[in-house]
Amino acid sequence: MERVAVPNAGAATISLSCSMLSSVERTDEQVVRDVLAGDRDAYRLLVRRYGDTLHGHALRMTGNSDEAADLVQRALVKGFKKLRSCREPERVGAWLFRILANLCKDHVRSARRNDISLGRVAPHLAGGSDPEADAAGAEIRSRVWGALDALTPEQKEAFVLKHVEGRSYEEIAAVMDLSVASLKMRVHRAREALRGLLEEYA
Amino acid sequence: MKDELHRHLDGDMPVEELGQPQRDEADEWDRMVASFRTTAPKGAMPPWLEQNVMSEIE
Repeated sequence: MERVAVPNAGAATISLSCSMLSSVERTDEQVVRDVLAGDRDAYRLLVRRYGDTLHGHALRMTGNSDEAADLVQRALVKGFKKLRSCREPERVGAWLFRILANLCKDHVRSARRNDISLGRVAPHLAGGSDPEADAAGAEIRSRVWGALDALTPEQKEAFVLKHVEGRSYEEIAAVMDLSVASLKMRVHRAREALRGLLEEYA
Repeated sequence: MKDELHRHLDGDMPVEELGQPQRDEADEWDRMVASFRTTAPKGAMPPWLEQNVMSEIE
């Protein structure tokens, strides 16, 4: 096992194995290098660093916690298997996000073919202790998320990333490998479609 | 929707530069986006998922 000398408070040093170093002490680039060198356990750091972000996006795209977890697991396993093809290890988080985003879009297409609507699935995800408020909230969720569900997977993804997750165009464009202009056009079309759909439902 | 409204919603044009009808429409959009955000499904990755991933790559 590789040993790394870590300066202690005094003149002496202590030694820790790489996998014992905290995520704060190892950059993404270092973690990727260690995994590719055979330290599979180091991959756990990437799972911990990006798991919540990936899961949140999958949840918003699918509206179903089991499906979201399944997609995240598939994305992380695929990421491990293809890690050598990650050209910018310092941006491995964005690379993993892109893998997940593609799986989510495929899932949305497939769910649509099988007529599974997020608008019908989402309401039970965020119930509270007030039944009346829950019922009203469920109706709103069903209406707005049902409309979002009617967009193309690409439009839905763009709208979720921009307006629901609140990311900047630059950040989304970098992750999705699109130009900012193309991305804006996609968001504009999503808005136009949503407006029509929500007017229809009103 | 007019281009000016898209530009405003993109963060490229301040609301003061919009005419009143478009300001009203921008307000509607703000309310709609807020409803998406408040009703969006949220949740951290389940704790068992990390172990599932690590088991699968062993």
